[in-house]
Amino acid sequence: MKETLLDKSDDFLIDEAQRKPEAFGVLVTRYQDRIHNYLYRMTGSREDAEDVAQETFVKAYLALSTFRRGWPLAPWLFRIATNLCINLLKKRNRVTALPEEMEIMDRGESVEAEVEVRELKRELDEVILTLPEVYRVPILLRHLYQLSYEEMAQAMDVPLGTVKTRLFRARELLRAKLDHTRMMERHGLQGDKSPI
Amino acid sequence: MDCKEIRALFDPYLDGRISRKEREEVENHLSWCYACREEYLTLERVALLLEGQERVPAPPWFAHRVMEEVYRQRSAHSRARVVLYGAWALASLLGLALIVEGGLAVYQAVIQSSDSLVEGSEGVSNSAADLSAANPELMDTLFILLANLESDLVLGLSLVFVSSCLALVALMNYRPPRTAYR
Repeated sequence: MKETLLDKSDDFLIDEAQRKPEAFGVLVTRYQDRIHNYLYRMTGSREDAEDVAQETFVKAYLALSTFRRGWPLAPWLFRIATNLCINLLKKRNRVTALPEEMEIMDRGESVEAEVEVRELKRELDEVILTLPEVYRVPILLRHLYQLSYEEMAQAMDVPLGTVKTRLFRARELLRAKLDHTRMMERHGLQGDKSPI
Repeated sequence: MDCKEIRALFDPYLDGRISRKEREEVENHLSWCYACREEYLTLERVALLLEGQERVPAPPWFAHRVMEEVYRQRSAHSRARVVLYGAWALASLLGLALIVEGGLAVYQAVIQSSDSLVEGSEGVSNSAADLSAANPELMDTLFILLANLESDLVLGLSLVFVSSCLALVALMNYRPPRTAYR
């Protein structure tokens, strides 16, 4: 029964998935938002995010026997999602992409503050999408999902040192681009959206 | 520590991956150095903005679509397994039959040759006669085997080998999802 599966642990569900695929369904609902959101931030497109997310979970199901029980599932899923996503982006040869319009939740602040925050967030979305994929990944994993460096190493399939190097460099790039955009606006020039 | 060294610690500090001693150094420095404080606050602001970004959840039909595909792959895989194992079983049976038939033929040929050797020296070449003088039965058996190299025996063996490879391919690529206990 699906009801009794809902509060089972990930490891239990992974075991059950062999005999009862619906156990895997519960795992999907547990992680789908995280993976979908991550892919949306990576690609800037809902359609792409949904397609790659679906591919991620199907691939995970077929590779379940290779997953080490007792380890956290999220970094492993992020790894599959990242690889699939980067393949897609390489195929499209896409470096920049504009995100769709999003609703900002009401946080009870003044109108001016809300507008400023909204603008900043939109700017941030766009700037993130101009980062090369190799730097976009650690920024999202660290700041959207608070993955530890170790979990990031797992998700990115690189050594710990590489995680730090890429993350710190990504932040540097992000800051530089945000400053650059702000400077252009201050001087009344068009925002330059091309990657540096 | 000077500003440069402090700024090198900003990232680990932000991520909470810093020793207590270094954390104290950073916080102490930031308490009086305006330039570094501004620099750090920019970094922190970016991080906070990112963390506060709206989450875009998966659509409500998402899990359903995934499971549809999962079931589809499962059937496809079990069909492929059936086909490959069926081919393997068929080829193996054929191969075994050929091996038995070929083996019997070789055995009969050996028996006949030894009989003919006892009676006289029929159908044995000169060079063979020289060698067989040293070890008659063994050499004759070997020659008979060589002569029958193109027989069904070898064909049967090849078939079994090829079909075993097929079975291996089936096992490796189409095995049902099973959890490994490590």
